[in-house]
Amino acid sequence: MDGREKRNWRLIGDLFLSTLKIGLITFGGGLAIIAVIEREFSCRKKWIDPDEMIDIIAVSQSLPGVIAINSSVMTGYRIAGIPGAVATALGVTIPSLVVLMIVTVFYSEFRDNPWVNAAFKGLSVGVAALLAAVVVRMGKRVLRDIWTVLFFAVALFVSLYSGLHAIWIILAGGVLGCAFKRGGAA
Amino acid sequence: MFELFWLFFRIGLFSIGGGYAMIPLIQQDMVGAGYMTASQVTDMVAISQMTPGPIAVNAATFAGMNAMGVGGAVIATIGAVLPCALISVILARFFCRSMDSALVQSVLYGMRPVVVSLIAGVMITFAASSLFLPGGGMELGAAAIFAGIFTLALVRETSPAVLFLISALAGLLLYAP
Repeated sequence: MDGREKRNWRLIGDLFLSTLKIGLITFGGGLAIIAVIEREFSCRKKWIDPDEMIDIIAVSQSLPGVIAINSSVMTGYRIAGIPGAVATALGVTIPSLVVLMIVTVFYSEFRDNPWVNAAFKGLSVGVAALLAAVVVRMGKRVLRDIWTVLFFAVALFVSLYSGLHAIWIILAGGVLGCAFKRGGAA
Repeated sequence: MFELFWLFFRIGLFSIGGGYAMIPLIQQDMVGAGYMTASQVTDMVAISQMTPGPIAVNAATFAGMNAMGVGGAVIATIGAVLPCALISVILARFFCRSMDSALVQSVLYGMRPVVVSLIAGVMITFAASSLFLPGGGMELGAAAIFAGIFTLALVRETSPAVLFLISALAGLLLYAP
C-alpha cells in the first residue's frame, strides 16, 4: 500500500494536531512518546495496524537520530505519505521548542520549584503505568512462541543489567530472528 | 548561526539510540566550542527530562537558546530534527516495498520481542525510581496511582492526556509542600 493513496488534508490536519498533543503531554523521552503514539494512532484511532506499528518502532530504533522523531515520521509517512511525515515531524517538535524556550529563561526557578517536582513525581508514575499497559498489549501480539518469549526475557535482562546500547540489542534480535525462524520453518 | 546548525545536524545524524546518546555529543561540541559551560550541561540534562517531548529535541532547544537566544533555539532544533526526518522518510519508502520479503519478516520476527522488552525496561526504570523508597520499602501513594492508571489504560483505554493529567494532580496531592 502506498501512503500517497490516502493523502487528504483533513487526515493530515488531524495527524498534526494529535502529534502536537502527544508532544505537549508526554514526559519521559523517546520510548514513552512512541508508546503514547502507539496508544493513540493504533489502539484508539485505528490509523495504523498494530503489527505494522511495532515494526516501525523496531526499524526506527535501529536508525541513527532521535527515536521519537524517527518513529513518528515513519508512522506519519505510512498513514499519509510525505505530508503526513511533515505533519508528525512538526507536531512532535513544536511543543518541545516552545516549552523549552520558555523554561530555559526561568530554568533555575523551574528546576527547584517544589510544585513542579511534586507534579513530576506523579507524572513519572503515570508514564510507568501507561508503558506497562502498552507492554501488556504489545506482548500479547508479539510473544507467540517459545523463541519470542525467550528473546523478550534475554533482551530485557541485557537492557537492564548491561550498559549495552539499545541498537546492538535490536540488531542482535534481528540476527537471531533470521537464524531461528529459518531453522523452525525447515 | 550556521556553525550552530551544522553542529546540531551532525549531532542529530550520529546519535544512535535516542536522547541519552545525544547528551555526551552536545556536551563535547557545545562546551568545546565555548557555547555552554559544564554546569549548564547538567541543567540541560535535568530540564530536558522534566519537560514534555523528546529529550534530544528539548536538549537541542535548551542549548541553542543558551548560546544564541530564540534564533539559536530554532536553528539548533531544526538542525537536530532534519537529518532524522530525512532518513526516516527514505527508509519508510524502502520499507513499504520490502515489507513482505521473507528475509525482512524473519528479521522483524526477532526484533519485535526486543522492542517490547526495551519499552518494558524504560517502564521498570521509571517504576523503580518512583514506586520504591531509597530504604527498600514501597511508596504506597505512588503504588495506588500506578494501579489506577494501569487499569484505566488497559481496561477503559482512557486517553493518555487524561491519564497524565490525573497522575500530575495525584503527584501534587501526594508530594506538594
